Amino acid sequence: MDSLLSLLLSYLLLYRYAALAFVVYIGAVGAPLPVNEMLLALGAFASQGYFNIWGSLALAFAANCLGDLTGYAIAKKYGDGILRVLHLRKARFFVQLEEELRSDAAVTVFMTRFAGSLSSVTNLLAGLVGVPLRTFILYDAIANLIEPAAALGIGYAVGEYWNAFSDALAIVAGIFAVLVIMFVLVRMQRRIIRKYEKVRE
Amino acid sequence: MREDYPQCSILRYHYGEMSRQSSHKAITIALMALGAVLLVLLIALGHIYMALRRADVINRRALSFSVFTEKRAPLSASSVGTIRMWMTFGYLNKAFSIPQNYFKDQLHITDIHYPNLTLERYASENGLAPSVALQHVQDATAYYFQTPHP
Repeated sequence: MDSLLSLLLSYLLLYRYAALAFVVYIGAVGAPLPVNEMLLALGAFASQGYFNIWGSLALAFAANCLGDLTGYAIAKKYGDGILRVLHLRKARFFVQLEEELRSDAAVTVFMTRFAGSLSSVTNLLAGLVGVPLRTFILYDAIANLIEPAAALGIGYAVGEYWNAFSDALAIVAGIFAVLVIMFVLVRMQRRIIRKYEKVRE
Repeated sequence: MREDYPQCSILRYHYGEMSRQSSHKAITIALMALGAVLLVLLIALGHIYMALRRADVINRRALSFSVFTEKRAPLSASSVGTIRMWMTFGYLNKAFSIPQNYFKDQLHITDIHYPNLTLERYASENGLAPSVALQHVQDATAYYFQTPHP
């Protein structure tokens, strides 16, 4: 087993709900932590009576939402300055990405919650391009209810065999990440083709 | 193309068209690469599913609602192999339904943090190799199930 995951699980068993809230929050802000695998194990611990499944779900939901909002808020507050320094505002790809994120904010925010580290990147981009706060919070909250519930539920159902499913969970997150990137690229391509056809006319 | 475009606008138009075509090409190549990655991931997921079916893990845990509603029995001697160094004695007591001080007495643990003590820390405090410490704990757990208890 990954040594980082082993360390997190030790902290989870030692400090319980405090560790759960802290790790999920830091993971949502952007730290590359195996949060889904940890939630899978937590579901198994809950099936053995060491944690309360509903309390764990509520805490994971709240910590996830807060972490996502933190990334969004930081990018919204300091993003303009960073973009100016990196000269990204005029970069063609960034302008296209900005347009795309603004028009498909709901789908992108929702789907990236299931895509591991892409979720944190999307939080920053959403703040940078100015996705409306209400849209961000709504779709972030809906997905943040489903995603930890799925990991906790699978862990609860499989019990002591949870470790056998952790690789599968990582692959599913990878599949979601690829699908989201493909979705964004296809929409960008369609936008380019439409613009090109308008100019030709 | 419009007839009344001045010369520099014509050049700008062609440059714009080339930029759009190169963007279009780059996105197409990226999509093809991502498609290949997606295929690899789906195949890997399929492999894992088949491995879990062969090991009877998925059949054993067929998803029915009763899995979520029925009270789970504690782990038994057959699950001793699932004990790992990152676990705490408090967790083992709960998971195997073992009395709180059993491991403390059996393994002569003096750390005041017990049962909030990981097996890793138990090993390092007693100068034991992790594999040796793990064996001690597994043996103690197995012994608990072999002896009669009220």
